[in-house]
Amino acid sequence: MSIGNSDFETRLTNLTVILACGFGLLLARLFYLQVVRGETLRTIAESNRTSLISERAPRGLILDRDGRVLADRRPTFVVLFTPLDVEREVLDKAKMKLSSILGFTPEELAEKLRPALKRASLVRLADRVSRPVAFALAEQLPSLPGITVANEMQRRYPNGNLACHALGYLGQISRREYERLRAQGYQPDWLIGKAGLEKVFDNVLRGEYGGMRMEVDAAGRSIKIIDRKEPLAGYQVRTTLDLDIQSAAEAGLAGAGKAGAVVALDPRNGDILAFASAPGYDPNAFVHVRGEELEDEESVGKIVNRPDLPLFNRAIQGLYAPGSVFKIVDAAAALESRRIPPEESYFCPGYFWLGGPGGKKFLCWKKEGHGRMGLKDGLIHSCNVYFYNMSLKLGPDPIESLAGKFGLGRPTGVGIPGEKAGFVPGRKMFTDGRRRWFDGDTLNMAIGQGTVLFSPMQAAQLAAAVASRGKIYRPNFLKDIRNPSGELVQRGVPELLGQVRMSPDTWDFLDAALIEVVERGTAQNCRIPGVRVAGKTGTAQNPHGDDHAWFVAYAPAGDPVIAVCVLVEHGKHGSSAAAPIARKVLLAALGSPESPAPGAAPLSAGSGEEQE
Amino acid sequence: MTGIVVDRAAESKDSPLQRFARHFDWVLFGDVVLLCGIGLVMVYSASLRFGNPEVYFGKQLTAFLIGMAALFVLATVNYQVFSQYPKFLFFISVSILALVLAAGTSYRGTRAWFTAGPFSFQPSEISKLLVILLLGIWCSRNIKEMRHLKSLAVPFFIVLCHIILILLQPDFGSILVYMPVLLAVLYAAGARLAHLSVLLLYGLVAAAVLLAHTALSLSARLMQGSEFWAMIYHGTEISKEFLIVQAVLGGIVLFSWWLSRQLRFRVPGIYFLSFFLIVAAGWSSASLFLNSLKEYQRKRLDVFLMPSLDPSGAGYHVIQSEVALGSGRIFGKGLFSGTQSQLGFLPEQHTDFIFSVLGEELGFVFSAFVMLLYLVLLLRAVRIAGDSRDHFGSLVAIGIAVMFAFYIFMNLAMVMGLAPITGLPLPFLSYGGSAMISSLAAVGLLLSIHVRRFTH
Repeated sequence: MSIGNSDFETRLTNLTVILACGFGLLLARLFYLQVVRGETLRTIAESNRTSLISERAPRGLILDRDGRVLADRRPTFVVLFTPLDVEREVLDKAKMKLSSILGFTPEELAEKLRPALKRASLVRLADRVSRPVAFALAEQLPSLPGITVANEMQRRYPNGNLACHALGYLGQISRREYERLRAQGYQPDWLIGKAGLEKVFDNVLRGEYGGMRMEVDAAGRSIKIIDRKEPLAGYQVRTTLDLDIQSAAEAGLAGAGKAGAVVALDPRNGDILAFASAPGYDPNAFVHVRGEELEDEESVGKIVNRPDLPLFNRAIQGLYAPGSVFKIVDAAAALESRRIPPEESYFCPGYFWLGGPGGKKFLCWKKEGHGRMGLKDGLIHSCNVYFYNMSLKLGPDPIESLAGKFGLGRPTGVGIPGEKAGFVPGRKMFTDGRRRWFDGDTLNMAIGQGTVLFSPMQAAQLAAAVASRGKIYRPNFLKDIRNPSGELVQRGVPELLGQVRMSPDTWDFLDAALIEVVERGTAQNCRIPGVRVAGKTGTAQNPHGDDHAWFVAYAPAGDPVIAVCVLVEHGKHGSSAAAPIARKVLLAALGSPESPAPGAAPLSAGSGEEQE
Repeated sequence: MTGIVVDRAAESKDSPLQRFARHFDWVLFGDVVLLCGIGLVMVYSASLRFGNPEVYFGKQLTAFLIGMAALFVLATVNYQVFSQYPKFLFFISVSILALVLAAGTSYRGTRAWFTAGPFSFQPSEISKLLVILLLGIWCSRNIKEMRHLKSLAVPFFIVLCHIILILLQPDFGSILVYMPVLLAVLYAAGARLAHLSVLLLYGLVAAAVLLAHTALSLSARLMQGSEFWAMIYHGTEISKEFLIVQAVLGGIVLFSWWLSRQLRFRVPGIYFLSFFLIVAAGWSSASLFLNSLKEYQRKRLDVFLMPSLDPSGAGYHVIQSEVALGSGRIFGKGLFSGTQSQLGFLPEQHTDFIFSVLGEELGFVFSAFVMLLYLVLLLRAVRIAGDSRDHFGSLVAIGIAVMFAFYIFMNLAMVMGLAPITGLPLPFLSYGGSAMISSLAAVGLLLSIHVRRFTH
């Protein structure tokens, strides 16, 4: 193997080639990692070294139309845990203290601490901690390694149950919601609006979450704050609700002691003045502060499990047969058809015998009978027999078509989720030929029984449409939205969904008849001296128990500023159960004193004569 | 050729020192000093997060200075003196390894260090060089006989002694380098490829048996469900099953021989016999080794062969290393400003993963430059082997070149996620005094071989 030995040289060359190939491979890999994948890996390295601690923004205020607070916020405390290299014994002791102060069971606490200890990342141990608990923690802080107590603004509903179904409630974002909203910057541990206005306006109410970007080392220890963003408070939402009217509505329902709903609208623009559903719940329970006991210990679990379904929003989700309230539609359809002279009268013996297929005896609500009744009296006294006769003559189609024009059988389009459509029957129901429309169906429809279904919101909209002579507005919750510095961001605009076109005579007739319902008919419980109130009672038969009581009204007739609908489940009679509640609502809206205003009585009396 | 003649004419007039300087391999020397300088800076950067970087820097600098002293001594001394005392060298090499087993200090379950005050030294680093010298001596003396299989026995024995002693520590990472060095030196000395493949087969079989044993011992489910795998598992240790497995193996080979005869392939039976013997030898040595392991040594072997067993997760380490390298992109994050390194996401960042720190902080341009420096080192070493005036120098240079190449490849491939985590350091860059000194000493040998290339 002397120098120049060709075999040795060949072998050296082979070795060199192997070396060069190896280096080429390594260099290619280095190029791939640093140049081709450099950008991606840089991002990973960045996320390695940073840990985000989000700071929740104070949620925007929700106000009534005059700026009175419906939902605000208050300071509470959050407990954060940063895992440090702590000895097991110290940690175990700290765990015991924590579970006793915070009221977690050791298992709950272990579950909450697990991600922190496993991934060495910061966790929110407890949200919404009360002042005494926070102070107790602060006292023990030296023996609680890794615990931080920070201040955070928390949603509060100062009026408790008031307007709870309009406001809705908050809750932890669910996995599905998070998937959907991630693009908008939502984080997995956020509270978001789960129902009502909190949900509808969540986007503006939530504000911009702030936070700190911390530099962390491989063990998850925070090294320094890289940057910090102050949270921006949410926008303030002014609703169309009127605290006075709302309170009156809820007080009325509470007085009745039964489940029910009240909806009050401004017939001039569709503003929702009151939106109540009983029973209600305290939305504060959903943002329960640890260490503060709620009055009557109302917890989320209890609310959800109560048999009377307080979370059920009867104002838009409850569907009830409208009963005699539907006679408003019948009467209008009759007048518009020009085939039923208003003077034409029928005799009411207390029942009506329908012959033919499906024929049977149909009752009037007044067993002894109303005697001879025309259209107006029939409406005033809510005589079923008159409407049986009239509707048979008229047929179901004009009624169905007019009901459709009034927007019945469709959701009203009120913004909050979960609204039900209701139902208006008609011949179109039976297209499969197995059954056809019978006259009995016409009779049931005429008195708003059977398959006719209204939500209280729809009934209120019907009243508002009659009050405004046919204008169907979308029920509207939003007055305006302002940013925290008070600048106007968005204004709620009335939206005219449709216009029911009927002759002025028809409108005049309805106005006059409905006033007389209150003055001398079934709804005298709603009489307000000095104000011309127009209304109609309803009693919905209900196979499950006592009849539901309806009352719709608007006032003052001629220049109405409010339309109201009251439903009392199992209230038996609209006149006795629902009308008094409506009266309270109207009083709150009109600001009239209980005593008659001077000069009001003659006006009211005079108008009655005028309409005759 | 004329150039050399002129040089020689000039040589005679110069003083020995000037001659030394003229023939000195400045490229190699400069290359290595540059690498060491970069290494010192990177060790400082990588140990910043430990809070006392000056201690690491100081120790590494001390090692560098000692190593430079060793380098100059070895470069000045004629390397040929080593070839005169092979028995003495073997005695030294084996006895320091034996001594460390008796009187060394343990760290993480491996008894591999001599400790004196704040300094500790790993004798296997010296043995490595001594083995290269020994292989060089024996092969150069028997250069004419290297084509015979029996000439491979002594080199194999030398290496096996060392491997066994190091396995007793146990330091599995350190033995890896012996196999490629042995193969390369034998190859360069003219051994036949067929004979080398015998060695290779032996090594592969032994490694495969170890790996299979570890893998099977970790998959209890597989073994419970299958008699076959249970049999193989027990066959990897010296046991009744071992004999059965060997017998079955022998039967298979016998059958193949019979089959090849039936098919009229003229393959001499000796091939089948030697194949069986090699496999059986590899298997037996692995089994013997396994049987001699103590419980803690077995655990270390498990973790070494299956890094995923490591609770902190070897996969995690490789990913973090790739992230560190890649996030450096073309120009790096700036010296001392790596986030992966300074925040502790890299494991063993001042030793095994120092190249990740370099790549993160200084980027592709500089890492590629450092790889170029390594390539220059290796090419110079191969060139020195080619230029050497005698077989001994050539073979030692080849041994050293392959040793460096193996370390560099294994380490770089590991940090880039192409090779398993073996814990092999990167020469000149990784923190570690013993490796630094022995690497510089190896370079000293190379320089000595180079400077004397014309002296006959």
